[in-house]
Amino acid sequence: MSAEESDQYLNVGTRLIRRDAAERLTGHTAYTEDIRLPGMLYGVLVQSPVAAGRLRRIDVDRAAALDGVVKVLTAEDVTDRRYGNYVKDQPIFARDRVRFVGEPVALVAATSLAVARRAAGLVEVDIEATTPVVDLREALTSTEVLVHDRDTNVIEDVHISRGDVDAVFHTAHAVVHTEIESHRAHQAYLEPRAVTAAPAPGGFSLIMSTQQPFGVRAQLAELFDLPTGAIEVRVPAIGGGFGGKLHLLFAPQATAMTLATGRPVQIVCSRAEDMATGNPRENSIVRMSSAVDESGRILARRCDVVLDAGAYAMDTPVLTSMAAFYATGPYRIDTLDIRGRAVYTNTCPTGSFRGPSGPQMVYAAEAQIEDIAQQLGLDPAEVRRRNFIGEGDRGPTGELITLRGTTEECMRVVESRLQRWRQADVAPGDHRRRGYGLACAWWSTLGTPSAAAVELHEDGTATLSSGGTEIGTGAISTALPSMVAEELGLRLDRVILKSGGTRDSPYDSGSRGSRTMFATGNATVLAARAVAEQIRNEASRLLEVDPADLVLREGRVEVKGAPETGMTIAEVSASAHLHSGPVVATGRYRAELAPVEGSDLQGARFLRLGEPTFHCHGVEIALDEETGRVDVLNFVAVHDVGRVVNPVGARGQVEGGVVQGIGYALTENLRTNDAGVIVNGNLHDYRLPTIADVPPNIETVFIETNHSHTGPFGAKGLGEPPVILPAAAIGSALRDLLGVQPYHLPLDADRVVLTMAERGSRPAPGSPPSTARPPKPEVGG
Amino acid sequence: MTARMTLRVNGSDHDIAVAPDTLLLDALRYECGLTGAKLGCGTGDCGACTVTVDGEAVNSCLMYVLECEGHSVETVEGVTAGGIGAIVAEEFVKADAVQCGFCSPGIIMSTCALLARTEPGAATDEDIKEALAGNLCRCTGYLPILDAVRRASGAPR
Ligand code: FES
Ligand code: FES
Repeated sequence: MSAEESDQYLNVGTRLIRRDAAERLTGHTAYTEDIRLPGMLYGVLVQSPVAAGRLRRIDVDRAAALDGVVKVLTAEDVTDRRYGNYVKDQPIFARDRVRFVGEPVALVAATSLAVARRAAGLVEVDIEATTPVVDLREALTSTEVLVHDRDTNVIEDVHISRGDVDAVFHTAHAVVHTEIESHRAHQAYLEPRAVTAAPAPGGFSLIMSTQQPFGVRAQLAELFDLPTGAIEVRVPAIGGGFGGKLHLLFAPQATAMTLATGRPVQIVCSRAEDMATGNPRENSIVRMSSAVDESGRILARRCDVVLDAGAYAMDTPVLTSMAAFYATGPYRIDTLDIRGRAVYTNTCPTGSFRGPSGPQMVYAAEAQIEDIAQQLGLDPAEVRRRNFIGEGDRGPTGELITLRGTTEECMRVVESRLQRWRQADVAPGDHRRRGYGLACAWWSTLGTPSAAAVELHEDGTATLSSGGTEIGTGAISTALPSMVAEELGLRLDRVILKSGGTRDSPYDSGSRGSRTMFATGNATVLAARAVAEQIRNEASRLLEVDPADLVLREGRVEVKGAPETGMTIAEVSASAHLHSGPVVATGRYRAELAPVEGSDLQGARFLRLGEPTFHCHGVEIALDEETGRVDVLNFVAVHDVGRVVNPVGARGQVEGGVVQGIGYALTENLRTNDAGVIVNGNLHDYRLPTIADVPPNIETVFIETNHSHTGPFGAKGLGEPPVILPAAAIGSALRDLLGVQPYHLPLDADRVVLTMAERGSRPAPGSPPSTARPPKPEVGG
Repeated sequence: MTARMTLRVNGSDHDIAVAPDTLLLDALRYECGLTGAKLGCGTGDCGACTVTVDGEAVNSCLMYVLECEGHSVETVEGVTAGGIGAIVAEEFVKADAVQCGFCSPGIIMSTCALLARTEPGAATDEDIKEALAGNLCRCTGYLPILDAVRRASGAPR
């Protein structure tokens, strides 16, 4: 699919207004909880109060006896099969053992929510508590305290190696070491997780707030041993997900209850349940060493990443590979030794959060750049420039980069803003010190499978059926129909969208990995092009011209160069229906992956990153040295994501992502105490940015000179990148201000005060480079 | 233990049966069938459940419905049907101030309550931020919301 054909689009690249906005704003859009089915029961979970223990007995009698209670389910009543995206380790209800605080032990279903809640409180759970392992370092090395029946808590061990790192480290001018520890952050979508299961002939159906209905269906088919087609997953509006709604959530429990009672069952998490059982961004330890020459060129890198998986694997195994792949940052490093590990702990399972593993890996890679610059006495921007990866270079696994790298162009824009801000006057009376920082990153667009169907009706209007999930970005509701309109030469209002689940449309692999615009978009465009071809063929017959000489524009099929010769698309479509058959086609897409070369990959869940995108963020901060409070005064976000299909929606993705990234950097920190209890699992103590906290201005800039060779209209993905850079940019600004930056996230007031206090003991900027051999960056075992 | 009461919502009276501890949010959603107000937290921290009672923005997840007898409740469905609420909604559409939309009904209600107590064009950014500080939005980053409220505030009413 080439972008070169024409830049004159009717819809693509114009300011598109969200087609579903008005309905959402006026309160008429239905979300999962808004849909109550006749005869529906309310499910309330009974959860483990301890982080580790042996289940001795569960007594449900008192709960079951309560008026209105229909059924109580425990592990006894359900299949012993386990589920999980990559490692099948999670039971529907805890069986024999509990592994984290909040783990489902039983489910009560009653005719009212109040009764179900009361009954859940009456279920007696007798657990013999055992010693949990909550700390990541301890879990990594422990052979005594094991979360599962395995001889180690390490569940994933990925190695990427290219060339002889040791040899380069020995002879290099200098070796620089950086170590970062990061915290947990919750997706904190506004709509708590919700699912309703209902009986259906031969199987069951779900109404579910999920980002990935086809994945849910496939996993449930396996878990409950049913044909995939006997399960329908319907997705009404979703109140945000950010990766937190990719998993089965409580679908297995709701389904088990529906199968047991023959009635619809709804489970809606309270906010506390949501935050205690959800799958936050993992805490992690990243140790990174680079061998450099005098000019700051990075010759080799060793990196060891350890991710806390929590009690069940969920999608952490694949995130471990991602973290390893992102250890180079947007820099060309030809000699690598990268290890990624994931470790079980007796804590809430972690998982995908928009740009998974991104914020901490970008923070580490960028702090490493700044450490290199500091040790060598160089300008960090210059060190970045000397190392940027681009076309013709090899990526982490030796794969050829076929797209022009534009991180430098992105950085140039940011540098010009930083310069302007440095020169601006500070309001009189404001004694806070200013810091200016930037961060660079690359990310990749996931090219996982998608199919779409486009049908052109007799009246010249079209229907797009997409299995894609509208998570709130507008990519499905608005951008995809605009692509169909573009391909068929129709006005946007002539394209009707059918989406929202597994029943009415073919497969799509979900709203994740910044893939919707790209992969679901490609499937959509392929379907639309096949329809356009059918129309051209029919018109060719009617007009007696070569199909190649026909164009579809403004509702008409016209002869190139002679627009007066033509017919309306409606006429052609009606004729096709009579003569050659209905005008309908399916598009299917899966990104091709270039071969990897010269690398040794062990245990990786994939072989290379998808289509790269390039990014730079810049920030001006004000630091109150008394309190350690950091305020973001100005922000600029520059992204190369190929062609921007909808500038309005794209800007929304950037601003929303930046604010999430600032929250991650400064205030959000989901804390687990030594007993494995989440201590701030509510929206009062878990501090999300409010309207009063956001910078007055977030400037969004797109570099649009670098279209994707494979994306629809030259587009690449944008959903995740904006969230992965702000912490690193703020860290860089703190270094600008203090001479050092924190090596622990988040950069909250306590951390900043501590960093200021420690400042004296660190080497001053520009101190002579260390030539000592670094320790091998291994964290324990 | 249910009692009958009359709940005045969006200008119409609803005769409903409620328990003493029924929350205004649940009564609106499940007795009156108005699901615009959302349950985001149930603890007064997110604002998704915001409605107005006699023009004042309240968290309906923290209020018992029985307290509302004799008062006038407005929900997003009511206020956006016309007047300033419709203007507010329109400005939100234009500014792209809605993504997932789960926060939107509450934010519209807080905005309407603010605009009802300020003269056209008089609400400052500080006023807007104060009025909306209790409404979390996880998607938009707030800037388009701020923009939409500014514009709505300036619109003739
Ligand atoms: S639901 Fe009422 S404030 Fe969150
Ligand atoms: S639009 Fe999703 S929370 Fe505001």
